[in-house]
Amino acid sequence: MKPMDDIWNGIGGLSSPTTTNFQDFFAPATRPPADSTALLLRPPSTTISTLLTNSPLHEDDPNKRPPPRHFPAPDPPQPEYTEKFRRLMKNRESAARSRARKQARADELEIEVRRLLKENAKLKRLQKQACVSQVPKESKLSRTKSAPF
Amino acid sequence: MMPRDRDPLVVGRVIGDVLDSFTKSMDLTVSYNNMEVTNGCELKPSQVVNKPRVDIGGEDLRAFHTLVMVDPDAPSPSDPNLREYLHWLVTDIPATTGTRFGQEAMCYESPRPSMGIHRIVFVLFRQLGRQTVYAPGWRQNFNTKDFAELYNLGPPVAAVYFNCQRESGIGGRRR
Repeated sequence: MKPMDDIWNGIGGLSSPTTTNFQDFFAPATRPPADSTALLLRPPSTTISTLLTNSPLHEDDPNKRPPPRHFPAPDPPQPEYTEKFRRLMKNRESAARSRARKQARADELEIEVRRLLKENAKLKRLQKQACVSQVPKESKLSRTKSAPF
Repeated sequence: MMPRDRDPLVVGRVIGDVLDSFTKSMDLTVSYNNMEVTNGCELKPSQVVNKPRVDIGGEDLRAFHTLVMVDPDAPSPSDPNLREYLHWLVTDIPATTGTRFGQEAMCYESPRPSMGIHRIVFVLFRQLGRQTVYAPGWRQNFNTKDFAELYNLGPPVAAVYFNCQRESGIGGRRR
């Protein structure tokens, strides 16, 4: 069954990082047949309901059909309602918030750095200009009252 | 415009969860103990226990402004059922001055998050006139957008936010 396993593993979107077993997506009471081989060999038109009734291979013979399972209405076997799925989604949201936090801080710092570099360059320019205009005056010698003689 | 250089308010989802997109048109400087708040910086509850110094820009002393301070992640960012929690509301702030010249419509309540890492957002609006803005009756489930519409404040003129978690917090993890 190796090639089929590869195909299932290649379907990245649905699979939970914590399980590689397709059956884990369903609540225990409503698992598809334990023999996953039969599942994978089914024709593509198989629907969720036929998977759940667990009997397509015996459809023609009512005597051999297993008793229909009773699924309690408030607990549909879709992945969305399992605790595992909800925890998964919560963790994903938390991770997304964490990434957003990190990226926002990085973006803000980049903006700050550019602003400060600009301001620094401007201040250096101004200081240079101020120095240039001062030098001639400083070279003049003059006696001050603080001279010791 | 480099794709990486995006508005931190958008990346941090402040624009989205609290505000709609707007163009900054006024200077807003918020400082706790002489430390200026920059978007997304982290401050501990002990650092924000007292109200910050807030200075605003503009030119006309006759233009009045309202400052809103909210926590959109109350009580917890994974389940913010008290969004937004109003920490501070100051109205009638004249341009070029600061909150100490305005009217404290809702007194400053320092952030003390117990679960997760919260964003604490400051938003500045320009008022149509003086004494035209009133405080709500309670702090939780405040809605900045609705509040602005109710008092004809228009779009925000400036905003800034910081992150805050409980004093002994370690990155939002449960104990």
